[in-house]
Amino acid sequence: MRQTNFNLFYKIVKAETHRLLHYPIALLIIGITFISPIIGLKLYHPIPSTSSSTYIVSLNSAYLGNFVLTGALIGSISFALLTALTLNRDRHARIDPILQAILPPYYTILSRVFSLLILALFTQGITLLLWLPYTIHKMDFHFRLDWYLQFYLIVMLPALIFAILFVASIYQICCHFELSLFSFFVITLCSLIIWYSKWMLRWINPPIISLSDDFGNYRLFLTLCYNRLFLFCFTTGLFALSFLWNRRYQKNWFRSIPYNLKKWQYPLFGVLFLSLSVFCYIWQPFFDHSGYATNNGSYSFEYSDYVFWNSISAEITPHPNTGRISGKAIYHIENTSSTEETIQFSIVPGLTIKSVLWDGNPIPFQDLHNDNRNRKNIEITIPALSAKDMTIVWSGFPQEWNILSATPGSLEISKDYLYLLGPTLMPQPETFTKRSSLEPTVDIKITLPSGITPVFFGKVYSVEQLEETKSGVIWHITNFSPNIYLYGGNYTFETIDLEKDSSVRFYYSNTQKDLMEEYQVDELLKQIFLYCNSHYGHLNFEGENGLSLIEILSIGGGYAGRGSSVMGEDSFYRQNFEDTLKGNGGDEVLAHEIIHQWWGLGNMFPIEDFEDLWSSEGLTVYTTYRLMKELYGAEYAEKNYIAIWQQKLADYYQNFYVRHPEYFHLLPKNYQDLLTNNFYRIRQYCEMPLKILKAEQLVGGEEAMDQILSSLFQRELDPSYPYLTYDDFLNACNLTREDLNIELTNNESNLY
Amino acid sequence: MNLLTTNQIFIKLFYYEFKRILFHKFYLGILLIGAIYNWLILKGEIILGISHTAPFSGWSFGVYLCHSIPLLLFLIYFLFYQLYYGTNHQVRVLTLATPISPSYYLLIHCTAILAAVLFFITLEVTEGILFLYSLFPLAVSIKELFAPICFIYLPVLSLCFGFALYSIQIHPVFFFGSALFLLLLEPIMAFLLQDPSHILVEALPLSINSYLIRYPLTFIDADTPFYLIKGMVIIRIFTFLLGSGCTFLGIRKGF
Repeated sequence: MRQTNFNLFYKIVKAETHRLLHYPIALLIIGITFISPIIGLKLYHPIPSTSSSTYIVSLNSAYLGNFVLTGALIGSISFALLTALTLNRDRHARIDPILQAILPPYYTILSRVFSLLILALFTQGITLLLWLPYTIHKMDFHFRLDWYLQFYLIVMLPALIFAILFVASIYQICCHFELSLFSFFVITLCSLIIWYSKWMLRWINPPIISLSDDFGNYRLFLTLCYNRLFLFCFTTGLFALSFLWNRRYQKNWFRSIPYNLKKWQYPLFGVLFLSLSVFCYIWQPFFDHSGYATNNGSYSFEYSDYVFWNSISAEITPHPNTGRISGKAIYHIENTSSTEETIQFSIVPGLTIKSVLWDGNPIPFQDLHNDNRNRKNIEITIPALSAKDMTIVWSGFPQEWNILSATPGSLEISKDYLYLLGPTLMPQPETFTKRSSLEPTVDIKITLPSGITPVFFGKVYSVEQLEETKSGVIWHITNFSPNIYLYGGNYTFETIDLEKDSSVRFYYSNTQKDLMEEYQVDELLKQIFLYCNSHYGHLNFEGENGLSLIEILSIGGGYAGRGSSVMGEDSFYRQNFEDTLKGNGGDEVLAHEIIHQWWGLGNMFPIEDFEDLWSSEGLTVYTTYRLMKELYGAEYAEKNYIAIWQQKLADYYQNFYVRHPEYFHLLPKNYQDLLTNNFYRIRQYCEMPLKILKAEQLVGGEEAMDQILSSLFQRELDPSYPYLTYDDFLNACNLTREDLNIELTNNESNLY
Repeated sequence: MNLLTTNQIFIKLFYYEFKRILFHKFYLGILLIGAIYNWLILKGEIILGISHTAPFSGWSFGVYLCHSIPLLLFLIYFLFYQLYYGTNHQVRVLTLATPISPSYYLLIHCTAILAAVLFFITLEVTEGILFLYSLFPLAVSIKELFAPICFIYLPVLSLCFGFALYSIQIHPVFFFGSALFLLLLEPIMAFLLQDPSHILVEALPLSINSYLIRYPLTFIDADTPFYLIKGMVIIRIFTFLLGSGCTFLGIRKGF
C-alpha cells in the first residue's frame, strides 16, 4: 500500500512539474529569476560601499555578493507569487472539492510544493551555469569556484525554498491567495528593514557586508549556513504544522483540525522542527552576549599583589575545516600569599575550558560567563605559598562580539586566513601579572595550515618554522607576553625605505602584488611617513623589525599600536586607487591608520574615558586632514573634512536626547547604550578635531600648531604616567577648555 | 409586522456588514500583522526620535503613521476587491432581488468599509500613543498628535477610497493599476520633476514621510511643534478634494 501511495505521489509530482514547465507564468518566473542577478551589477547594491565618494567594494562583493543577494531577493519574490498562484489554482477554478474527492487530502499541496522546489532547484542550476562564465571573466584570478558555488547555494537557493515553504504554509492556514502574498510581503519588508540587525532573521538578505578577495570568507559562510539552518527548520516546521489547517470535507479551518489530527505525524514533525528552530535561535554559537554596553565599568578588575606567572608554554591548533581552535597551555604560577588566592583568566566566549590541572592534579574552575567586550573570565583558586605548573586545556568555536552581528565573519579560522587575537588564541592571565623578567618566557607551538604565513601585530621575540606535518606546519613563537595578535594568510611583504636608516615593512596578500606595484602604494606610504616625520618627529621604532603595516581581512576600519598598523583589505581595492575624486576612501583610511603610529592607540593616551572626548582619534583625524590638505588642496580638505565634522557635530548637538538628557534617562538601557556609543564616536571623531582646529587658529596658525604637536610628541615621558592628556595639550597651547568650546553658527548647524 | 424605517434598515445592514468585515479572518490577520509591524517601527525607529525631534512630537508620530500607509492601502483595496469580486459578487443576483436598491446597498458597504478602516487607524494610533505614554508619560500631548493624524490620514483615506471605488467599476486592471500608482506616486513624481525635495514630490503622494524627515532638519529650534507649510496644506487639501471627488463619482457611477 505504501509503495502504491509513493508511486501515486511520484506520478503527481511528475505531472505537476511537467505542467509547471509548460505554464507560461512559471517560465516567465524562471526567466526573471535567472536573469535577476545582473540587476546587482548597476541598479541594486545590497553590499554597502566602503567609500563615501563612489561605490567601491571587493570584486567578490561586486560580482558574487551583489549578484546572489539580488538573485535571492527577486527570485524569492517571483517564486512566492508562483507558489500562491499554483496553490490557488483549484480554488480559483472552483474544482477543489472534486480534486479532494479524487486525491488523498495532503497529496495535492505536497506534490505541488515538491514540484515548486524541483523548479527552484532547476532554476538555481541554470542561474549557476548562466553566470559562471561572466563571473570568471570579471573576477579574473580572484575567482574561486568553491566560493561561487557556496554563496549561490547558501544564499539564493534557500531564499527560493523559504519563499515557497512560507507562502505554502500561510496558504494552507488561511486558504487565501492575497493574504498569503501579503504575509510574504510583510516578512520580506521586515527582513529588509526591521530585522536588519537581527542576523538570524534576515532570510531574504542574509548579513553579508563584504566578501573578501584576498583572505577568507569561510567564517561568513559558516554564519550564513547557520542562518539558513535556522530558517530551514522554521519554514519546514511551519509548513508541516500548517497541515493541521488543511481544509477537509468543505469545513472551515477550525473544524478541519480534528480530521487533520488523525495524521498526527505532520503536526508532530512541525512542532519538532519549530522547536529545533527555537533551539537554534537561542543557542546560536556565532555571537556572544556582551551587548551594547561598551562603556560600562564592569570590565575593570584589580591585580593580585601576591600571584605572578613566570613562564607559559602552549601548543595550539586551529582547525581550519570547522573554524574551531583547541590548545593546551602550561602556566608556571607562583602564589606568595599565605592564603588561597583566586585568579582569573580571560578568554573569548565560545571557547570552553576542558580541564585545569595544578601540578598534575585536577582542580575546580568556574566559567563566569560574564561576556563583556567579547571576553569572558575563568576563575580558579590556587593554594597558598606555592609555585607550580597549571595546565589548562581548552577548545571551542570562538564567538564574535554580538554588537557586530550585522557584519559577521571577522573571526576567521580557515585554510585561507586566520585571525587570532589574544584571548582567541589562548587564555590570558587577567588579574595577575608576569614576574619581571627580561627573558621571553612565553613559548608557543602553533600548527597552521600549509601556505599560511603568520604575521604579528606589534612584535614577537622570535618566530620560526619548525616542521611540516600532515595537519599543517608547526611554527614556534617566543615572546614576552601571551597577548599575541596573529594574522595568518598568504602574505608577502615589502620593505619601504624612509629617510636615514628607518624603514617600514608592509605585509599584504600575495594576490595584491601586481596592484601594489601598479599603483605604487609604497610611494603613498612613504609620503605619509615623510609628512609625519617632518611635522611631528620620528617614531620610536621598536626593535630591529621597525614598523609593520599589515593588510587584514576587512573589518570596517583598522587599528594601530605597538609599532604596527593594520588596515582592512578595503583600503586596497583596485577601485579605490582608480577613484579620481580621491574621496574619503581607502587611501585616507590607510593614512589615518598609519598616523595612529604617532597618535597611537593605548600607548600614548590614557585608557579611554567615555565621559571625556580626548583620545588618540582627535589628533589622528586632525593630522589626516592636514595631510590631505597638503596633498589635495585646501578646498578638498574643507569639503571632505571640516564640513563633515561640522555637519556631524551639528547633528549631535541637535539630537533630541542630547538637548533633553532628562528624557534620555527614561529610555530603556539598551537604547541608552546605543545612543551613548554613537554620541561618543561623533565627539571623538568630529568634535575633538574641530577643537584642535580652533586651537590652531588661536595659537597662530598651522605652523605654530605643528610645533606644539611636535613638542608634545617628542616630550620627555614620565614613566609613572606616560600618557598625553587633554590638559597637556591645553597647557602646551596655553589655552583653557572653555577657549575651545565649539559654537556652531547657524549656517554650520543648518547644513541641510 | 412593523416596517423598518430607512434609517433602521441602514443601521441594521451597516451593523451586519461591519461585523462581517470585523470578524473576517483577513481583517483580523491584518490587524495582528499591523500591530506587530507598528510595534517594531515604534521600537526600532520612532523611539530614537526623527530628525532631532522628540519621539513624542508630531513629526516623529507622523513618520510612524506614514509607515503604515502601504498596509492601509492594501486593506482598503482588499475590502473593495472583496466587495466586487468576493462572496458579495456571488450573491449579487440575490441582493439585486431584494427591495433595497443596489446603490443604497453600495453606500452601506462603503460606510462599513470606512468604519473598518477607521477602526484599524484607531487601533494604530492608540498603539502609538500607549507606547509613547509608557516611556514618556508626562510628555505626550494628544493635541500635538492630532494634527499629523488629520493631515496624513484624511487625504490618504479620501484618495484610496476614491481611486478604489471609481477604478473598480471600470476594470480590474484599472483597479490594480490605481493601487500601484498610488503606492509609487512618490518615485514617479521624483522621476518626473527630477527633484526629490520638490513640494509636489513631498506633498502629493500618500505618505509625507520625506517632508516629515527633511523639514525638521531645517529648524533652528528642533522642538518646534508639528506644522505643515502653506504649500503642503494646499496640496493635501487638494488631494483630499480630489479623492472626495473620485469617491463621489464612484458612488454616482454605482447608482
